Amino acid sequence: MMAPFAIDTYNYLAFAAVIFSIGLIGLIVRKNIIVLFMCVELMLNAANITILAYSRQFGDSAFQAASLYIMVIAACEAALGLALVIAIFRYRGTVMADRLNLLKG
Amino acid sequence: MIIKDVLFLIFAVISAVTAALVVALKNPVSSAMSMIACLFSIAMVYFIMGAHFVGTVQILVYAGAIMVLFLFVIMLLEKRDVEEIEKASPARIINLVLITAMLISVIAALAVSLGGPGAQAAGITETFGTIREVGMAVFTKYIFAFELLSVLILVAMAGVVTLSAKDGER
Repeated sequence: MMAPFAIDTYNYLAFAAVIFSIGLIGLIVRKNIIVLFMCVELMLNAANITILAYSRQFGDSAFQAASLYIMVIAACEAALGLALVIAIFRYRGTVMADRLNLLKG
Repeated sequence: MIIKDVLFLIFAVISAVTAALVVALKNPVSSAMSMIACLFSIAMVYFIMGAHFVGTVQILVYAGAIMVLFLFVIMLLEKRDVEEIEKASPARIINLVLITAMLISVIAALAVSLGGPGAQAAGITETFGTIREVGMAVFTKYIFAFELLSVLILVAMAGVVTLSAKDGER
């Protein structure tokens, strides 16, 4: 009768889904490339939450290694992406994604 | 246990709100600040889940290093162009509806497959999520991926230097 409410894997996964959706919405709505990168980071964090939720579900710490590896990849992605942003800004003078329409013809 | 549950709810709400602020705020610096708050509260969620080492790395690497990198880049770029977020183009509304539908269906599928809120997790042992356990996994079973990642970091470093150097300085 007690414990009408217990946080468990379901709640963690739903939380990850919410964060992922917010990141995806930001990716569509925003135009500033730097903010777009932040939204990608949010989505990567949602993936990490999912992995850690299953790590907790199965009681296996080895999953957490995967989550650390994802963090490394996210760091590389952010560094390279921001270097690209700087290069784009140097040549085009803008960081707005809708003004980078060179391929539009 | 109930304290953990309440803390999870608090930090989940904080991180969802700050994530929404990342999307909603117009100034990129404000976005970065709320991103830092969001990453901190996600780290708190990691702690609550028992992944202490990953939470610590989250604070050090994400909130510490990556967001400082973001702020530096924002600082380097002049604030020349103002972003206008148009509200109600039909494509955007369709997108938002689709994403919301995706979110709802994911949560519903989770509820069906995991038996809804309150599904049982495996017992968490004393050593779950400690640096020792995670380090054993990283340096024994997954050592190859670890070494590959160090190569990846090296390549990323070289790429960043090449990309951000001016034409004459390469």
